[in-house]
Amino acid sequence: MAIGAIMSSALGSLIANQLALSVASNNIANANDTDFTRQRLLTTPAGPDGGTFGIGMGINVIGVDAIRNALIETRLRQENSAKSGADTLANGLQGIENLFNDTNNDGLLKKITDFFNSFQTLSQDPASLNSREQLKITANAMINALHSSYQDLKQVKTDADKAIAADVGQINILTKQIASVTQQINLAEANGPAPDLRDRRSALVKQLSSYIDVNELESGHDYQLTTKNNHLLVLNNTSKDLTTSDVDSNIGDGSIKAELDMRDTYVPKYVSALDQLAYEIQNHVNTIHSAGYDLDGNTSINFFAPLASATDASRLIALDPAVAGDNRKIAGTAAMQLGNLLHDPVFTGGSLTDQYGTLIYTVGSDVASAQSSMNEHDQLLAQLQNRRQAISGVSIDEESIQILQFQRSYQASARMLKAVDELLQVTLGIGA
Amino acid sequence: MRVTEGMSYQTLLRDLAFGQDRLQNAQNEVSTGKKVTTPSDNPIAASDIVRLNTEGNEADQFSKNLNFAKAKLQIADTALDSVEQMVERARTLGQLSLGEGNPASAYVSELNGLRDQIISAADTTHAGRYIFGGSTTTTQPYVKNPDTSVTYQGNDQDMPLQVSRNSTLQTQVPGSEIFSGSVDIFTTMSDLATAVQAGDKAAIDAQVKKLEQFSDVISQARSKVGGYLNTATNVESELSSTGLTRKSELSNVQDADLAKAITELTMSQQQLQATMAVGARLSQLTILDYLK
Repeated sequence: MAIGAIMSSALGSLIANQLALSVASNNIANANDTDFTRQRLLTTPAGPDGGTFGIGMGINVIGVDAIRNALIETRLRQENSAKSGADTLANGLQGIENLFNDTNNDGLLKKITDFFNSFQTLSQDPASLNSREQLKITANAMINALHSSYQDLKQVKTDADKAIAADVGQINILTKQIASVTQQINLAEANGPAPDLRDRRSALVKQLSSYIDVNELESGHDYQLTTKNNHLLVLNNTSKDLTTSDVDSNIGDGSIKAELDMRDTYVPKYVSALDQLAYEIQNHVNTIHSAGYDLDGNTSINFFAPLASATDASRLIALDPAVAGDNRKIAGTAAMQLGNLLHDPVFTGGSLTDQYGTLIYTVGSDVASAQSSMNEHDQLLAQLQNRRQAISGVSIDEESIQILQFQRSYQASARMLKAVDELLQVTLGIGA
Repeated sequence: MRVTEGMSYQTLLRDLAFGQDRLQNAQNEVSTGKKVTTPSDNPIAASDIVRLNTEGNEADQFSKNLNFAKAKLQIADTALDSVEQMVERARTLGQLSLGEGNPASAYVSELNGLRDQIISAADTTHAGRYIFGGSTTTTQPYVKNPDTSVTYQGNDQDMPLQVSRNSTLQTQVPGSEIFSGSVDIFTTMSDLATAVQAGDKAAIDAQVKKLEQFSDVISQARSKVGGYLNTATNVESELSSTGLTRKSELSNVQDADLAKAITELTMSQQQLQATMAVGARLSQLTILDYLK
């Protein structure tokens, strides 16, 4: 092997070690970026010099490789969607739970109880105008509590609509960015690998996945992102805006799905339970009340304005105008029987308290299961993040040792250059 | 498995968050003294709490009804007691008038006075409402007409109150069962006064007999009232014993076991401290210290 060849092999080694050091430096610099994928300098022995002994010609640098596991990346993204959905649902339901929190004895049921107890008080002295006034006050307090629970639930629905619109807006911003990064990747990869740009794109897709789970498809130079219900989001360097009408229950996990569930499943369920309660109160009270007699001997008077059906009952329930206008119209003779409605098992599912208890139980277990699902996904996500870190994360200790290793190799290669230089001087000295 | 610093720090962060959460729950339980404060803490317990609270609120109302009934019944009893004495006096007067002594007019005026007192006893009120008029509580039940006859303006309706989920209590006996029942005391008193005035022995005897019959009616009415009061006392003790049971049941489902809660608080504090101590050590372990 010629001296020149040794020199070029030593030079190649110098350059390779220098590159390896800069890769390590880049790794350390990004060590705290959880979306970063650690990189390695890919090298290969340069192959034999063609001489008698087939001595290798040093090192060839192939490129820089990002160490990632595509399967884990996909699982991580899916789990991120599931976690984000579970978070959104749990938080939303906790807000609703407060509307039905009667455990401190100061909620809607307390107002209903007060209302029926006022009938019991009236039965002590049916002629008392004070007791009649008090009854009307407690009735209005109950009606207002029903109305405001209804309004609060409607507000949750409106808020969910707004959140979906906001999420769709965020998704459209992200898909535009993803399309633009894809364009950069295609340009850059014409000249060689672009791991940092790919990291940037997977970070954006991960962000996107907290809103909706997506299908990512890459074949050759083609890159495509679609939603689970097959709406195209990104094709290569172009993005297509999602609209709120593209969003349905097949959209796949994520915060949008959770908001849809809140709006279309949970809120309607609670509203209809509340409506049923209000309707039955109205119905039973009116039936008994209209059989009783008011202070002036009139009968067939409704206490509440009659409702045709349970639809929107919690919004529509109101005192009958006649009763609202004149306390004397309250049928005092039926007072005791009306008061007993509080415990009489004439409501759907037993007594009124039983019915309300079932509602409390339903809300409580919905929230509890959303919370446990949130915790479960939290752990799954953490596990996957750990697995990703185990493969793609930067270890400072590891990099430190590699720095040492490359540094030594660099030193040795420099020493080799010096040795070759001395050899050359000896060779040049022969002629002198 | 390959472990990076990032993983250690992420795990530390999660552990700290978990520890803080556990500590906060323990703190909540100790400071509120309750283990269930929202339905999701324990949905079954929450629906029990709601049921027990409502039963409690309803029992409070039953207690109020009971106190009202007792007060009303006691007033009725006092009124009937005084009527009983007045009738007894009237009977004595009737018998006395048969013997020698005071002129008939003295007996007659006392008898008329007694009759007016009985009318006013029959018009006794509680909380401004007449208690012997059946369910007519705002109209004076017994009114003396110009010809001194007395008309009943009430009815024979009961006025029961609900005093527990499965029992009602009568709060009065209508005047139609007492003063103007089988014996009309007001007519009897007038007839007696007329007989005394006339010195008609047979008529006096007949009216005195009627007074004796009326005494039976009164004592029946009083034992009815006494029976109602008795029931009230029984229901009251039943309410208070179910109240105690309910409170202990409520306490079982809702109240935190303080000893357990404080132990949990201490344990979660220690856990958090341990996590923090581990975290502090984590940053001390690096190969850089050994590469000199």
